[in-house]
Amino acid sequence: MSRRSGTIGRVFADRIWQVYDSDMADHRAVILNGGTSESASQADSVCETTAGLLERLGWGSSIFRMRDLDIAPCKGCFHCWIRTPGECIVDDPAREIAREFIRSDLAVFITPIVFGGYSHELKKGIDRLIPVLLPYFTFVGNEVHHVRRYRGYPNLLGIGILPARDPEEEAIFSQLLLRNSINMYALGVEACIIYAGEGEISAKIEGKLAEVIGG
Amino acid sequence: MNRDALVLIGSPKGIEKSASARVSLVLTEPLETAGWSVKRLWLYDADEDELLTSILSADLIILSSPLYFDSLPAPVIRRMEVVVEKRRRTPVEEKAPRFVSILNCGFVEPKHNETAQRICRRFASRARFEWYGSISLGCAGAMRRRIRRGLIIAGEALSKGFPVPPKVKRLTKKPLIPRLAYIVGGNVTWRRIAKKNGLSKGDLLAQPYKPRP
Repeated sequence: MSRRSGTIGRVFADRIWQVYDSDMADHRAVILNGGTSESASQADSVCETTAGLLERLGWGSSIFRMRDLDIAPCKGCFHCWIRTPGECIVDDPAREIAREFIRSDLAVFITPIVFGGYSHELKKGIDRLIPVLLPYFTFVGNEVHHVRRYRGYPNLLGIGILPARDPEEEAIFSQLLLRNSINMYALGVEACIIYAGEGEISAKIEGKLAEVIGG
Repeated sequence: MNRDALVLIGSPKGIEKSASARVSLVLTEPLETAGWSVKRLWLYDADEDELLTSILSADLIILSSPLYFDSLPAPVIRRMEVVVEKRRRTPVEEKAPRFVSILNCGFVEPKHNETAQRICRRFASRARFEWYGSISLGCAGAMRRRIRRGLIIAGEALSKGFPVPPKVKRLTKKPLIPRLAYIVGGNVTWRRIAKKNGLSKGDLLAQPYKPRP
């Protein structure tokens, strides 16, 4: 993917999500900040750093701070497949997340690593992404998966926050992202681990961003 | 010997009708026959205090949940976070409850559950539960003889204080039906359901969101 620089970002702080110069940029990212109340400060700092780096690259970003959003849990009703195809019947901010997900070239999942996986705050949004796929099944590689609904899907960058090194949880986190990338038809996927109290996180995230967006 | 099992249902479809509940019923049959008392809680609406009290008094905890995007549904993760947080503040027991996870996915291959099973195992370790094994099912927990047998063998072993035996994995790991048959049959079924809802084949392919250029 190519980079474009010089885009000035604007933040609408009073909205439940923020948009950095969304309609002018060539490339877009959707950032889901899954920080919980306990991990809010570090998740917010990671989110701000990531958005800033993307802005410098000329990307537009939509940021969703998940803990502020009232999103109903997925009911597993499949109405988004067989009644209102492509859209969840529940009208809440999860619809906007799905819309931005499909519009974006990159999806960034920011989360404290919880047992190797995502926090419940992040997962409540991811669970509701099911309408972006079709109900139909097909082979992807040597496995059965759902058929894509759209031609293109965003690459995935997962930024997981851990109190300290934990090889097992880091391995699970990477595996989860890889599996998500198959189910979500992401062509590129990267996992980035940030440790609590880690000083300079910007270079680390920038390196992972470059890998996942091909910069 | 009076032992207590706690079954935690992680499906939004509830404690009565969900596949997760049905699967757990087969597993707990041998436990009940052996005199265990079995309590069931729906994680979506369980009272936090009741959940924690039930966990403290259980000898065996069974989590039965569907797979959502390679992991557990958000409300289940929320409960897991709460349990670990509370357990961190309680004194270590002499004998930790045993923990078993049964996950079912909508794909034909049970191996899609592997990442989520690793998450469950990590949760068990963090909650100071003794890991007693996992069972992964495909086809949305559809029950066939081989699966039923596996669940009963697991239930019998657990009732005697043993972990889920390796034989159960051998019985459950293979797809229930040929994969191509699942794809064809599944796709026909989706079309049929959509037709009943007044939708055409084309309607099912709708793209309500504007894709990126």
